[in-house]
Order: sequence, then C-alpha cells, then structure tokens
Amino acid sequence: MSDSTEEPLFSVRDLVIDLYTEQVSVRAVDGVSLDVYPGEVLAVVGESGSGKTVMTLGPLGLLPEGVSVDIRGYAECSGQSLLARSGKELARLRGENFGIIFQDPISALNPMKKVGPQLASQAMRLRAVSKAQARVIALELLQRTGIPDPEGRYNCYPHEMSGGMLQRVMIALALAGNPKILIADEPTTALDATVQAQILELLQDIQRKENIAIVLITHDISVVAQMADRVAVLYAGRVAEYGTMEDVLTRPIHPYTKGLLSSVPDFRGQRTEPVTGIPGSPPDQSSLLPGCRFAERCPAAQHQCREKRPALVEMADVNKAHRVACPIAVSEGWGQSNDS
Amino acid sequence: MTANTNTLLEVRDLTVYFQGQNKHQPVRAVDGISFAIPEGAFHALVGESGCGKTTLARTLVGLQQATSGEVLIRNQNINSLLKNRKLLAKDVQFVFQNPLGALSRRQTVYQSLEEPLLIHNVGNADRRRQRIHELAELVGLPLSSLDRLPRSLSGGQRQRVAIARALALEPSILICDEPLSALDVSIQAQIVSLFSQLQQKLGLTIIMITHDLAVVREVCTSVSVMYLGKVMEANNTEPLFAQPAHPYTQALLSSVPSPDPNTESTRQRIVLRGEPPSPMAPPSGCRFHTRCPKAVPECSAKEPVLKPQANSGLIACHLV
Repeated sequence: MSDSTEEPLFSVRDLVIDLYTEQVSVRAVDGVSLDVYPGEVLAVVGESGSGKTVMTLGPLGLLPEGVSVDIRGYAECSGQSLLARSGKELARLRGENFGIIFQDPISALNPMKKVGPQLASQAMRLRAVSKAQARVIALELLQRTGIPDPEGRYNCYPHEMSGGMLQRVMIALALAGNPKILIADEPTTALDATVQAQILELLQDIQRKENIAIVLITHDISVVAQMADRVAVLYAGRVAEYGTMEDVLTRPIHPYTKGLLSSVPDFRGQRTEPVTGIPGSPPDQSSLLPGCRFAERCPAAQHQCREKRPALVEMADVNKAHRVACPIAVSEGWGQSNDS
Repeated sequence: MTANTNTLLEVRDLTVYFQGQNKHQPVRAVDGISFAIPEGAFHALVGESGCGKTTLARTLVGLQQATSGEVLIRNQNINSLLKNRKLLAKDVQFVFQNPLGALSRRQTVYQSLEEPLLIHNVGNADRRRQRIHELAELVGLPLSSLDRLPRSLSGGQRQRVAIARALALEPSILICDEPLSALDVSIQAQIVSLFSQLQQKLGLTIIMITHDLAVVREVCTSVSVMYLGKVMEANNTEPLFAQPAHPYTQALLSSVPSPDPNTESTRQRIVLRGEPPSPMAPPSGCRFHTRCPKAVPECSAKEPVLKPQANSGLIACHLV
C-alpha cells in the first residue's frame, strides 16, 4: 500500500486543468497532487463537477472531444511524464500502463463488432501478438472476468449481453494490455444492487490476486468503504481531504467530508439522526472567487476562508498520510488527535 | 402491513403486459400484484431494474392501462375516476425521476407552478401568487428562483420545483418514481428530508419507487420488495430491515455496501449468481428459484403465494 519506501506508479503534482468551449471556460481541476502506489485502491470521491473524472482521465488525453483543454502542472507514470506528449506517444504509454473501465459499457464497446474479436484486436494492438494468440488471450480474459461459456460468448454482439456481462467484458478489455493500473470510472453506477456486488467482488479479486492498482472514481461512499485503501475527497476541483480509507471515513476532519458522510444514510445498525445533506449546491466553476471553494456552504466558515485558499496540510503527529485543506478544522482536529 | 381501516389506495391482482415482437410472449411487467396502502403511509416499492416497479407506479395514476385486475382509490376504480382526469389530478400526483424532462424548458418556475392552478381555475391572480409563494416556501425554493428557467437551476432546485408543482393542488397521494437518482449525494439528502417533512406537515400518503435501500430505511414506513413483476416480501420498514425473511430480500440487503468501514468489514455478503431472467419468460414456480441460494425442488414446481407472517409481514416463499 502507501508505504513511503515504495515509488508511486502514477503521480500528479499541482495539476490544473481548464476546459473551454466557445462560450465558457471552466477550471475543472485546480491544483491537485495525488499518488497511486502499486497494488493499492485509491478512491477519488466527489459529486458531479468536482473534477474527479477530468483529473484522472485528463493527463491520459481522454477527455471528451469538442472541448479545448489546457493542462498545467505535472503528471507521470512509471517515471515518464505524460504531459506534452504527442498523441501517439501518449497512446503507447496509456496502453502499457493503464486499463480503463468506463461507467457505461454499451457506449464504450463497438456495437457493430462481436465482443471476442474486440478483445482480440485490443490484445493484438497492446501485446504485439499474432491473431491466433490474440484469440487465446481474449478467451482467457473472458474466463478471468467470470463470463460463463467464454467460447460461446466470444461471438456475441454487445446488445446480446446483459448489463453485468457487458461490464465484465469492459473489465476484460481494460485488462487486455496487462496494465499496472486500472482506472474505474463509476464502474457500478449503471448496475443493480445484486449485480453491483458481483462486479465489485470481481474487481477486488483482480486487485488482490494480480496486484493491479485501481483508481476508483465514484460518488458512492459505500463503495469506497468496501473497496478502497486510500481516499481523496474532491470538491470543486480541489482536494479537500486525503488519507487512508479508515481515517477519512471514520475520522473525517474537513467540513465538506463531514457533510458528505452525514448525507449518506446507512440501513444497518440503529437508526441514528436523520440525514441532512449540505445546504446549497456546488459553486459555478466558471467564475471563481478567492478563498475556499466550500466556504459558501460551510457551517464553520469564517472571514479568512473567503480570502485565502486553504493549503492541504498534514495532520500533525497522528498520521502523516492524512491531509486536510481547512485551517479551521485542522486547528480543532489537532486537539482531538492529541487525545487519541 | 396489517389491514388498516383507512385504506386509501388498493391494488387487486394487477397485471400489466406489454405486447412485444412475439405475440404469444408478452412482457409481463407486473404479473399479479395485490396490496393496500393506508392513509398517511410512506410506502416504498423496491427492486432491481426490470422488476416492474415503474410500470406499477404509472398504473397507479392511470398513466398506464392495466391488463387485468383493479386499482382502487378510496374504494373507487381508477377507470371510472379517469373519466374525470382533472378531479383525479387533484387527488393523486406524480413526481418523475428527471425533473429537467418533466418541466417545460420555456416556462419560468413561476409559470410552471401557476399552470396547474390556472387549469383548475384556482383563485384570481393575487391568490395564485400567494399560493405559489407558499409552495416555494414549502419546498425550500428561494423566491428569487421563481423568475428563472429550469436550465439555470441546480438539479436539486429543479426537483424542488417538480415537487412544488405536484403539491400545487393539495393532493392526498404523491407517487414518486426514483425522485433522487438524478441528484448528487449531498443534494439527495436534502430532498429526502424534504419528503419526510412534507409527509408529516401535509399528512400526505407517499409511494416512492426506488432502488436505494438506505433511503427507504431513512424515511419510509413500509416496503414492498419486487422481483420480476411480483411482490416477494412486504412489511413495515423496521422489521423488514431487522429480519428480512425472503431469500431475495436477504440477498438484496446484503449486496449493498455500508458507508461505515467498521460495519462494512463485518458485512456478510450473499452474492447472487447471474442476473434477473427476462420478464418475457419468467421461470416456473417461484421466479427467484434460478438465483436463490436456498432453492429446493418444490420451488421450481409450484408458485408460492404471498402469505401473512408472524412478524407483521407478507412473504411469498415456500421455505418460510
């Protein structure tokens, strides 16, 4: 996991991503630094517009077409910078290192092509193998992702498969290049509860058996609690809190993290106080004010919060891996953590 | 779920079939459902996609014609009530999943809220203005938003507008189809607590279709769990969550992760194999037997009926 002696596989430093269309420009990511270590699950949590997808897929050159992108800062994978690369170089680095699982498999797969051959052509491209070998690899991938009767399913079109099966094919496709990191962008949001459980189980299995790191982009705190080793909570393009899953979910310090957790009902255990949510809604990122982005909705906000951007600081003595971007909560949090 | 003297809405042996490509194999979206909702209940219909919960909800307000069986509101058949749709609209209202699709893009919030009042000739312009302001306050919409178009509102505010409009004519029954699933977590919680306030303040009877079990536990008083067009288990919320009796309910509850890492690390998961079968050809006997971890031969032979249990619930399972 996040052992400090280990080198991160994928790092971003001070990443800023601006998105432009003809009418507006939006600062989607505003100074984010994160590391992904071998074999760990890093959850990137946030609501819509928090920049979680743009932050992760932006450096890989995978943002939607039709918007202009301006990326600054630093992003590297296995010691090689990802920014300022030609499309071809970036595609090669992406193929060698990353497998990507999109939210909606039916729009990520080619509807006109059978799933087996789609997998095989991906394997041919990424592993430089012959057509016959690629077929064997594709069948193996279908087997590994728990698809019953791989030989039979090889010749199915995407529309002939159910949502859960398609998500398995999507995962098989992401594994085709032997990636070191899987990026899973809301992998279970489109699925039903019992099918979501199957897919999460499969991802956990792959991560544990094959020691592949997973970057899990999600808005679902329950999925984070099941899957993650570490968590980064994003709000309006910035990291609000960053730490181990236990620290962030059981000892949250940032007022946004606290608000987010108190918004999530849990049906287990005793009924506690009702969920309240966070008043207001996320800020408009096309016209930004100075200071903390959360100040407008924050119950603890003070004058200084609207003036100066809060730095992401390490929580004093307890756990250096726990970082929080809120000077007010941190000064209170210190008192608490000294007790424990 | 015990019989209540003040039954407001009742469904008897309801089926809704859709004719697909194969004339002899209709899609059996709702396939024999009966229940009674007492006045003041906050009832949840839960189940996975394709279980027929939305079709059932649409049938309850007459947006969908039943194939057989009856929907009764205050003991009157909905088909006779539908002859005067305006009168029915004053009593039963619907909140859709996606408020952007349910609101007119060209109407300001004020116009959207005024429309039902105009159709029903409520008061004069002053009285209507007063009512619109009341509604905005009731659902927590700032008055400054009344002149805006849906496009320029946030997702949560749009859903508040849709709820306010549904409440404009003071209905007694509100049917909501996944009213939260298009919203972000922190906003969902706002709307959940709004529903629960409205229900208490206005004495509404609410039927909410949802797939989110945690929300059900939070606000609903009773639950029906559906699978492939049938009710598998129905009960008051507390006993259903404390002692789920049907194997499907047990699996469904166990499949949802907990947001609390301590609870999550001790969760006993029942991971079901496969996915729900097609409603065009539901399995023989109990529809759940193909995925049920406890199935015995009897389950594929004979269809279980929904029968009352000691814990106040109704269960359709041979093993209980």
